[in-house]
Amino acid sequence: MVHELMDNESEGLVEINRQRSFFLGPWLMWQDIKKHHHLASNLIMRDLRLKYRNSVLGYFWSLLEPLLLSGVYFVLFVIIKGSPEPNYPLWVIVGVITWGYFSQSLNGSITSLTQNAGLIKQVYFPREMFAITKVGANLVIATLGLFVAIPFMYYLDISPNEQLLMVPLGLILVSMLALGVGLLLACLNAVNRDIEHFFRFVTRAGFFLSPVMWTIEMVSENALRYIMVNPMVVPITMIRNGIDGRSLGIDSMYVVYSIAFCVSSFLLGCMVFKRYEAGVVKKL
Amino acid sequence: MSEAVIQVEDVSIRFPRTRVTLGTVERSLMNLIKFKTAKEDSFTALDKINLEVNEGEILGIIGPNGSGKSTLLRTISGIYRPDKGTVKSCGQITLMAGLGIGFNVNLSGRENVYLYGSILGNSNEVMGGLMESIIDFSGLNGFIDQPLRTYSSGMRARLGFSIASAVKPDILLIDEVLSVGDQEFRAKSMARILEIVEGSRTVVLVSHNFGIMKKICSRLIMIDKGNIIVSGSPEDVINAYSERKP
Repeated sequence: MVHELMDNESEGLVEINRQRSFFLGPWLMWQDIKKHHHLASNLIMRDLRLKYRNSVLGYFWSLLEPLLLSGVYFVLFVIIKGSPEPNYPLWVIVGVITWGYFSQSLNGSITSLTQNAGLIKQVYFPREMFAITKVGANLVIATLGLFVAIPFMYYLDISPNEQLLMVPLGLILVSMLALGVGLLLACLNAVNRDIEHFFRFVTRAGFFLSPVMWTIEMVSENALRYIMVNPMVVPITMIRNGIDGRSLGIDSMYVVYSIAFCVSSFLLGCMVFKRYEAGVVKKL
Repeated sequence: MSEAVIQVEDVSIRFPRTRVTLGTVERSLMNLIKFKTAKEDSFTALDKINLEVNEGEILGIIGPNGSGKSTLLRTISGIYRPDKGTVKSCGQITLMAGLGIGFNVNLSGRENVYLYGSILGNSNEVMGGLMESIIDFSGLNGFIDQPLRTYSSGMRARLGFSIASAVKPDILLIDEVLSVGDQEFRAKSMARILEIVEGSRTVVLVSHNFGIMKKICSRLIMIDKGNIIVSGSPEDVINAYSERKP
């Protein structure tokens, strides 16, 4: 073995890929995004372009899909319960779009490392980028989809009021939860693929256990306590009631719990991802 | 003495090696009953490597398959974090490997230039400015607005090489991509590499093509089983490599 001479320690050299403190995770991620925002926007554009490639209706599918789905649920609701509230279709549309955003983003970020393993092993770039852009692209689709509420609001004679501010807040909470849990599990999924299968089921079950087809007003006082464990109840209700022009109507204790859950899972997700990403690349 | 731009100190990399457990139903059931996953041991890909590359140098790396050449390049470019030791460098590093892997087959060649450019860390403005020269160099003028799925694999690799080398990084790492494209394109890419080096930029090159290595490298090292065995002039190292095995 030949050792090279190591006498000159030039100051221009920077150590690359240094292990940083666990708690710096969110900060490091922010730095990465700032530095690579071109990559982020290109990846989001790629996702959006490819999603509606070769289709005549293109982006209108993001409006049409929740519209058709809510039609089905409306029929289902009439069959089971009889005459529903006039606003029910609007509630369901908003629920379907929000839940779709959450589940697409979550499943997309969980598989972000395994799906892009080939590229990740050949080029260095911030590896959280795939998860972030997955959430970003789905956020664009969900926001565009929510515009479908406008004709309903007109028809139902709902005039937007200050409650509308809850909509962006709800979307932010959903994004944080999806990205946080997604990043947290992306590394784990690279080691053990059971995660992605299990969470495909979780998002499917969550569809029924979250207020997508129903609203919290339909839930009995007794059951509400258990329903509120689900951190998605508050954000969905925020977006729904915001568009409907009603106040949130949830006990502030539950609201604080849900916000704390979303924010802390986001921060924890960033930290865990930054801590383990380098080791996980070897397992891809 | 010219300045070092890459400094690899005592770098070791181990890979977890999972015993091959084909995902058969029986195996999954057995693991479930015994409540354990496949047992792991590790494989040492790099073993306390020390290496310094100076500015303007063309360093060639040779060695048998699986000796750690690609792992070393990936570690320098930041893909793998060393288990022990440190890697220091200055300036932008681009690793050219597996050309075309970042491409999306449903986007056009032009869109892929922007996408791949940003994967390598360049803004759309920079890529837009380089667009004409990239298209020219790749010789894909008539195809650049066609989706990539209509390209042959040679054409994809040519586009990949054109993008990665157009960016002119401070340090270029090349992993077995000099034999891309046809005879004519190979000559062109060779000239491009020499051009990059003449601009006082640094190149580290992994290849099995000793003819090319002899022609362009200023120094060679030979790696085997994660260790640097020989370092020196191209002739000496290639001779040592050929004499290594009967």
